[in-house]
Parts: sequence; structure tokens; C-alpha cells
Amino acid sequence: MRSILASVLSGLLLLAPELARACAVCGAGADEDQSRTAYLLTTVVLSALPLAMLGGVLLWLRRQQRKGTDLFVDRTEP
Amino acid sequence: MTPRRTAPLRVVANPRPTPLVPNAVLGMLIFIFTEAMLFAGLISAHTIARASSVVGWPPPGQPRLPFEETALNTAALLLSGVAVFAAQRLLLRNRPRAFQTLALGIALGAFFVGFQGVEWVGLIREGLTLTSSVHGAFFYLIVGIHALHAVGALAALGWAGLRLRRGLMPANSFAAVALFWYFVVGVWPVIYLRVYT
Repeated sequence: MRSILASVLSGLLLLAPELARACAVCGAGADEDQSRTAYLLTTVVLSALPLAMLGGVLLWLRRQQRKGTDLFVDRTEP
Repeated sequence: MTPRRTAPLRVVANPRPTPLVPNAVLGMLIFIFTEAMLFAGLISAHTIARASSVVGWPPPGQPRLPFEETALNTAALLLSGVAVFAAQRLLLRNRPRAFQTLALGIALGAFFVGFQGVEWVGLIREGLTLTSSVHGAFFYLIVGIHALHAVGALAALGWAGLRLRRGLMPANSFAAVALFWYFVVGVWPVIYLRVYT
């Protein structure tokens, strides 16, 4: 009798998988949409920031090089 | 025997090319990149903790951060950045004037750090501590790390000011120190708008 009851309860638990939380922090908030948006936004920022910084410096260097004269004082004899 | 074609002779007058960016500035830029990622990580963690908070933000029983009072402090820091920029522009043209402008920038920066200290004392009295809540932990961690950077940058600006007064400050080294201060100034509005609101 006890084993039947345990089987039925286990079966019922299998029907409610949405109650299981695999991640300790995911969905912990009252507003899951807000939490999801925060994860997405911070992922975008943390991924884009290094590229933006590097790209910005390279762009600035390129502009400096174009503005400036030749790096070598170069005279080519005919 | 056919004559060999040779490449035209290239005479290089200056074998050491002038770098596009002075070494001091490049080194500071690399350092600032790493610091920017440190702050980005901290602010991201704060954003996620805040969005995932079940009990609301700030948590019940915790004081609200002084947004309005800190606006004055923020204005002082921004003005300090402008003063240091002006000092950098004046460096090669008018050294005594550059020193005075730099001193004004340092004074405004010191006001910012001092005001932060007063604000912290008030918040601790109201019950916001490093261990009172996640809110308190993030606040003291992020604002504290920024304050450490501000103190370090002020010390560097003070050193630059002393050398500038004696006429021993190269423009490149000053640019590197000023760049660090611009970073401290530039990152603050992001912290202010993310943490204090």
C-alpha cells in the first residue's frame, strides 16, 4: 500500500515540472520578466563594452595617424 | 651582362618613429580598460540583484539613498573634471595658470570624497551597513571602490601638481594622470544613476 502511494505521488510530481528550479538564482524574483531583461541587458553590456573600448581607441589612433605627418622623415632619391 | 635593377635608396632621417600615443597614455588606457570592466561587472551584478529582489528595492527597513544631496556632489565631481581638462590645455601655454586650475580641480575632487564620507556616516547611523542587506553590500562595495579610485587619482593629481609647480611635469605624464581622473569622473554618473535611483 505504501509503495503504491509513493508511486502515485511520484507520478503526480512528474506532472508538475514547472515547480522545479534548476538554477539557484534564475526566477528568484517576483517579476521574472524584469529579471530576464536584467540578465539580457547586462550580457549585452558586458559583451559589447570591451569591443567598443578597443574599437574606439583603434579609431582614435587611425584618426591621429591620418592627421599627423609621416612617422618617418622619408626622402627617396630618384 | 644585364644590369641589375635595384630598389631606390631610402634614407631614413629618424630611425625611431614617434609613437602615435605616448607610452604613459597607452599604459593608462590599458589600465582604464580593466577598471572599466571591473565597474561594469559590479554594476551588472547590482542590476541583476535588484531585478531579482523578491522584497522590493531598497529592502524593507533599509534607508533610501540620498539621491538629491548626491546630485550636488556629482556636480562638484563633473566640475572637477572640467577644471583638470582646462589645466591640461593650459599646461604648455601658461604654467602658473595651469597649476591654479589644477588646484581647483583637486579641491573639488577632495570635496566629493569628503562629502561621500559624511554621507556614509549618515547612512550607517540610519542602519545601512555592509551586512544589513544586499542593498547595503552593493552600495558600499561599488561606491567604496569608486572612492578608492578617486583617492588614488587625487594623490596622482597632487603629485602632478607639485611637479608642475616646479616645472618638472612632462605633458605626456600629465595626460596619463588626467586620463585616470577623467575615468573616475566619467564612471560616476553611471554609478549614480544605477545605484542611487
